[in-house]
Amino acid sequence: MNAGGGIVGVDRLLAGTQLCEYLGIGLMVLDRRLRIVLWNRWMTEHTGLQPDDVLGRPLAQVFPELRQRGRLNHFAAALAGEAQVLSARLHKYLVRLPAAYAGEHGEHMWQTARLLPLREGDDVTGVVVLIEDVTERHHRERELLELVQRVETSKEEIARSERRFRGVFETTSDLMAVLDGGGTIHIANPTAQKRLGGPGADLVGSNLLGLVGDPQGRELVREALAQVVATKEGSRSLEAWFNPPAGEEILLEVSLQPLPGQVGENAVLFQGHDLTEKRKMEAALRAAEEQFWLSQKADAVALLAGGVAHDFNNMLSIILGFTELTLQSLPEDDPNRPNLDEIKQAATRAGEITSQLLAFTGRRPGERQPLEIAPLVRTAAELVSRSLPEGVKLEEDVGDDVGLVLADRAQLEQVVVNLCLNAAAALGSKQEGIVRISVERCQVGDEEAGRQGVAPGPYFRLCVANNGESLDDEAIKRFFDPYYDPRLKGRGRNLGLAASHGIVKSHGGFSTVSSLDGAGYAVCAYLPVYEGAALPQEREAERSRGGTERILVVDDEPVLARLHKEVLASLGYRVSVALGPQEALRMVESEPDGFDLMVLDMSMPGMTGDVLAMNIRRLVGDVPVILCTGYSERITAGKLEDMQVNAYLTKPIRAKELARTVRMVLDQVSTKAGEAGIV
Amino acid sequence: MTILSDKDRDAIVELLNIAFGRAAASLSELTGKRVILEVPQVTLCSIDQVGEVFSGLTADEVVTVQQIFTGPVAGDALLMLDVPGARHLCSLLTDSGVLPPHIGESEREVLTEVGNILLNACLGTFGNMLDISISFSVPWLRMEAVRGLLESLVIDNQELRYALVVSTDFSLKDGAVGGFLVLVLGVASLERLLAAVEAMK
Repeated sequence: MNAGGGIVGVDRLLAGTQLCEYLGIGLMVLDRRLRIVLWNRWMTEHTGLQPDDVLGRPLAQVFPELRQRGRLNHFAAALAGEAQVLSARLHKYLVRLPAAYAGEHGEHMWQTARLLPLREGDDVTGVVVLIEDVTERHHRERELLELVQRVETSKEEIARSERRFRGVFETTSDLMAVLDGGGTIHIANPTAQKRLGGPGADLVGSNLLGLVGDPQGRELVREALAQVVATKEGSRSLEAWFNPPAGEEILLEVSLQPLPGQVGENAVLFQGHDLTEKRKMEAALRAAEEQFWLSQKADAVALLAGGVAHDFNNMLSIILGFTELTLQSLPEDDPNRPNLDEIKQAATRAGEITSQLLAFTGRRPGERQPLEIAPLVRTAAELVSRSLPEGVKLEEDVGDDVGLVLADRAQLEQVVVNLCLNAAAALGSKQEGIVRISVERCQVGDEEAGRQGVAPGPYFRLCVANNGESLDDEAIKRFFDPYYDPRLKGRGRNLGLAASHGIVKSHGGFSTVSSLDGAGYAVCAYLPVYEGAALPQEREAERSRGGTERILVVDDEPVLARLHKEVLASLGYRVSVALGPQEALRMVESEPDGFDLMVLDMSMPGMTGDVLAMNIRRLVGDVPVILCTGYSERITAGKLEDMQVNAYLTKPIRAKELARTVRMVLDQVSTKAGEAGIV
Repeated sequence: MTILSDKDRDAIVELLNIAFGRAAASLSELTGKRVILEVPQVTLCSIDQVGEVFSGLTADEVVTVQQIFTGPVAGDALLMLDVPGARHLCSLLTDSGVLPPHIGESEREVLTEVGNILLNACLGTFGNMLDISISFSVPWLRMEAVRGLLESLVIDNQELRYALVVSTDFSLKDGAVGGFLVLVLGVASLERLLAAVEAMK
């Protein structure tokens, strides 16, 4: 193992050689000419070279790469007396050897080497070379360094994401806060401070639960918070109304998630997304949808009501007509008269109901005439008093001679009835309920008139008051809304009031409602005073005048046609009947001069009454026409003239009315003819 | 601290600059990075005053690479760095670019080699320039408090000892690390050194 017995100092070194053989390090001893004089077992094991192969040979011959890498300088320095330390990190290795421990990176052995001058006195006689395999340590340290590097990188990333988070935290429109497990706010972003704290009130330090608006919501938030704190994972979402000390209530979509490490182990991140505006918009949208749906429904109902009223009116015409006919033919003392009177009364009431229905649907043509308001109101009040619940007292304060209104009698009566029924309903089961009806003149000034969209001037104030419960602002605001009824709390409809409101408006007036100081409320209808003269009142006792003219009655309903024929025939007229437009045209064609007057039903299959009238006139010239209509949106006072119709009757047609109108039209025609010199 | 005349100090700084140049060249060659070693300040003081000089070190614990030298001029040569400086120097000299989490085995070896290069350069240059033969031991590294280090330098020496304290600055492209080079000499060695410096002029 050694060939250096002659080298000074080596002998002394050799005393430890046995030990060196088993050291886990490489040991070489070189003489001053850098020839190998000692080569230990480690060197053999790691180079595959036996001592005999290397001893006595120059180091640079055994390891030629030493020369190329300038490493021989270190040996020279060592020979000059300077001990050399060659660290693995800076040199990788002294001599290239395969790594015993390759690891996953290893291709060569990483070495730390020491070159020590071998001294004898002041002289350096050789170099001791120690080689330590540090491959395993090197890779371990490298992995550690990479780990450190990754940690540093992730620290940077955390810092970056923290900066990002802070940016979001500071600028988001959502409310964000860090709470402890008990709900106390420790950190709050500016939005949360603004929305929940308000000016001058620091949100930090207050408890989130205390800001929840209602106890139920508070319990929900408390529960969610406890769950997040207990499980420390996942997040909980819920909606709750919050009531900040300053500002309006807000609805928040709340999200709670654990945030350990912040303000203790039980920290929770609170996020609130403001749903208030969104919810308001949704509600508005829903209301609009509902209104739209209701108006659609109202249209459908109106259509249906119109149709039903038409058929209903036909039947009422028959009932009334035949009842009246029968009454006329009975002696005054006949025992059946009261029964027939009852039938007549009931049919009359039924007709009123139909007309109310039509008034609501807006399809009933109004017949305006100057009317004394006092007797009209009194009559209506009398009518309604019979249908008021027991215990409700009706008081009247209607002057005797308050003046005229230009109005449709039936409609105005309906207004009074509806207002009274509404007042009675408002009393509910109240004991000693009073409905008080009053009429007085008043002056509507420019301001009020402008507000109500009517003309200023003298008005009648028809007021119906009750002493039930007062109305709140909401109820007053929506009082005439057909879909709102304060008594029914939104469950029912308010058609009667809405119809009244519509009627009053169509008469150039307006309605108001106001709570009364004591109790109850008053609804007032303002109707313009009519300054003209009253019509001569028709006397009930007046006998219907008849005639002998030839009349063609056209109605597709055979019973009605027969009724009209009998009514008119009983008055002396010569009446023919056609059960449809085509039959009527055939009759007129075959006998162009055969008729003095046409009584035509408006709605018939195939051809409407007004069209039939035109066609007849085309055949026979200008013959007077009376149109009978149950419901027809096409007939208004203005259109009457356009259609060249002389008069029209609204179903149910009463015998007297029919007789009067027929006579009136015939008289008008003969007067005109007389004026024109035609007989 | 006034023992050193301006002329002597200038002469010593000149010697040290030569030695540092050699060491910097070695380090540059070794690491492939441009390393500059500068000598900003040289102070001579008695060993019991040396603590004041080191008060500029940032940490209590210091990393020292020490070599004993013998010959006509004998004593201890030390490179002293505070721990953050030592870690920084390691990261500057090696390719990792990452501050090592602690002074591990590899760092110790690197620092030992750096100290070895620097101390060899200084002592070798001194020996050559002053034409005296100085031999020096294998360097070793230790980490300990400044106080303990100083005590170990005083112990076992009855002779009054002086310290030639040289501030050093390792400047690399990516940063600079400051440290101290300390030559602790007995009064006889100091006199011989100064005489040799005197003779050199």
